[in-house]
Amino acid sequence: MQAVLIKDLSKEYKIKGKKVQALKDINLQIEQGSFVTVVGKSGCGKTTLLRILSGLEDKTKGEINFNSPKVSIIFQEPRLMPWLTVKQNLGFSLINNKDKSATEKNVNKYLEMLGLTEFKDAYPSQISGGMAQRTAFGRTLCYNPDLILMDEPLGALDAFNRRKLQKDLIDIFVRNKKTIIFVTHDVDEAIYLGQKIVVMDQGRIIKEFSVELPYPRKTSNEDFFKLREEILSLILNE
Amino acid sequence: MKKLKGLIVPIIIVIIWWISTSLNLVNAYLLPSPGRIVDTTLTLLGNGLLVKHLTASLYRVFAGFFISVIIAIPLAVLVALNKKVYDYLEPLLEFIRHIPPIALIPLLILWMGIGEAPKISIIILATFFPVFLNTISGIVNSDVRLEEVGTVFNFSKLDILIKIIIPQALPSILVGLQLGLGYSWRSLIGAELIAASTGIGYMIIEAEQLSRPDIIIVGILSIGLLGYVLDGFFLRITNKLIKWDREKSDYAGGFD
Repeated sequence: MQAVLIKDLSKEYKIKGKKVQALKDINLQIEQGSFVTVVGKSGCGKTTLLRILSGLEDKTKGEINFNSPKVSIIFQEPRLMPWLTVKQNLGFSLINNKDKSATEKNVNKYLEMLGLTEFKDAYPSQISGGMAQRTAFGRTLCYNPDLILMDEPLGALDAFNRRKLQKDLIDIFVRNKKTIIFVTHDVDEAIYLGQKIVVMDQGRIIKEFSVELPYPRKTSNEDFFKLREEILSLILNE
Repeated sequence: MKKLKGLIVPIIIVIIWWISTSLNLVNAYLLPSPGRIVDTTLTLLGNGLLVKHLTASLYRVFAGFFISVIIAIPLAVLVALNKKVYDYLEPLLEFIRHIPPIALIPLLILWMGIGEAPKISIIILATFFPVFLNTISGIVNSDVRLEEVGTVFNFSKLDILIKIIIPQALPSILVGLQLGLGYSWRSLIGAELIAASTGIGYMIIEAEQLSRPDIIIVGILSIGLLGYVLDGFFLRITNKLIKWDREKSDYAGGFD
């Protein structure tokens, strides 16, 4: 069953009167409960694609059909509310929920799952970048969307935190079976996480790959290595 | 320790003052001794005059400040969120902003008489701009990226304003309120010096006419002390309201 169907999606910007084509004729089908990674160089249009899917930007033309009504996005920066504690940030999307005990239960569940219980009363300025991004994950999970869009959410983290969160992400995906579209410029990360890899260049999808490797994946695996070389040569036009 | 350090300079000033008057180095008529000031303070407290004048001044400050805040904050929110409204109001506001409120006293007395209305109007005018401009600045500079978080979670525009924009603007709004309170106190004394029958300003001008520098000094010290106490009280409330903003420096760097 499809979660999202994108048909002939295009996006044009005007910068100082000049037209810039950010996306051109994007056609993409995303299955329910699948983990899709979108990889490409900076400026290839992958962030624009996510922003249009999340409703933060309008498309110029094309069609997007969602089978999943509830969509959320995790940004590259955690974007936590600095005046709220970690726990309050987790429950931020449910701030209007009248059933406070259900919210509390939900928030506590994700605090525990993401290892944030110890820091639940800290403000965002008092925690590390890794913990802040974990809090952003928790906030989105509390919202319980059907489709989660992720815009290079691990891009600003150090290698250790990045690896830890990649593992956590797979764990969350396997446990919750959400549909995830994850944008990255890191080919290894795209292969490590995605069941389907969409390669973009200059606003177009240039190829899609299916990854059959079981989780957790090893970067030293021969198939992993071959796929990486193939994607890299595609992106670098070698 | 910090508070004790702050007391050293005032104590030195009082000692120099006390020595100068005791040794008759200054004319006691122009500058009465600290002992005389204490005596006068006790007398004014005893006959209730100081409390009466302070109460009158405080009432005017709080009334003017409150009215100004309930006009300035909603108007600033409206203007900050709607550039078109600001285009209509900007020339008028800029014009009024450059007029010292005290310059309006004669006109206000002519229009409103010598009752409470002109004095409170002066305070409203003096308080308005710091509150108004700081509220606008706080809202205009709020992080659009955080507003996007609200959009993603399907928040209404009102929710985004109340739950994302206003909390971000709060430190700036509080700075405006603090400045406004200081301005209102200063302008009140100006208004009372010109047209009043009660209030600390009136007490000072009446003492001048009676050639009582001791009462003038008690009035000046009362103004300074009250301003200091009000500011300290306001700072405490501010620190509680924006605890997150004040605490970050202690933990900068987090737990990496």
